[in-house]
Amino acid sequence: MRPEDLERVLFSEDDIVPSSGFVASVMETVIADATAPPLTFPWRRAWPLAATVVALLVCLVIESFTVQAPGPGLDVYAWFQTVVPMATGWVAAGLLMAIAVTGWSLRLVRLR
Amino acid sequence: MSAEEDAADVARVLAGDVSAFEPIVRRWQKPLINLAYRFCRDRHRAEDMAQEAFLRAYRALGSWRRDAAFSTWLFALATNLYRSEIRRLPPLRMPLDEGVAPLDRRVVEAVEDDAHRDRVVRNAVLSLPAKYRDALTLFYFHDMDIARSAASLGVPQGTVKARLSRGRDILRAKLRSLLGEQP
Repeated sequence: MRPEDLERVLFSEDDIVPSSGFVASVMETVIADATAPPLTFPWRRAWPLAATVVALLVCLVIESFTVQAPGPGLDVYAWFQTVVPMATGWVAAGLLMAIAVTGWSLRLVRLR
Repeated sequence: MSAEEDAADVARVLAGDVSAFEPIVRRWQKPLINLAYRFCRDRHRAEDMAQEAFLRAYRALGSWRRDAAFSTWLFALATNLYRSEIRRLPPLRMPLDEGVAPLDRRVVEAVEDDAHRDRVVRNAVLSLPAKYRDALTLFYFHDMDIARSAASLGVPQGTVKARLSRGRDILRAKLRSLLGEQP
């Protein structure tokens, strides 16, 4: 097959005509999409989890700043004193990220 | 098709008038369905794909920046969707693997019929690797306009030219085999 024949075949393609109900079908879908209630954020499920995380964070922060005398036996408190400040930072970062992602998701839902 | 009409209708839709989307669908239904058809070679599927493209366009109208023509934005959106759809569910076509034996004499004679030969060529395009198939499909759909093809594909014009050249080479090799021609 000559190159010019190939070009001709590829270029000269007959158009197909849309079916008569196409526009109506599209508009039906679009209107259904426009009038559909937006997806609501599942606050009922999210609140207990969020409250738990916040409470845990508050506890960790308080714990990290509270000076307590080490008790007898295993020095768990000393270990916590080292670990908790670091963990607090990570938990705080995680919480901030979760809040940011939640906010972004809500924004997307509103845009939709 | 008027760019001003598109811009005015988009503004009305964004202001809350959903019905203003209908003229947009009327103006662009034929190009979008035909572009979809070139990707899937199935009329019903082409209409389904075009409908989905319009729905996505409606949802994303706010993201259209006026620095590009509405048609450019719409074709890029549709092309992106069509490529994903074809990747998800490839169109049915005859096997056109490399090294396929030439067709027998009867079929070769049938291929002499122009319509049949055209179908073989178009099916061969679908069998190309995606990046060459997409470049060839968009290039001929956009009346051999490199710039518009590049805009629809979201790649530089040089990339489109390179893919067209390589795509044609592969296509010619496939067709030589399919049509029983001598190299």
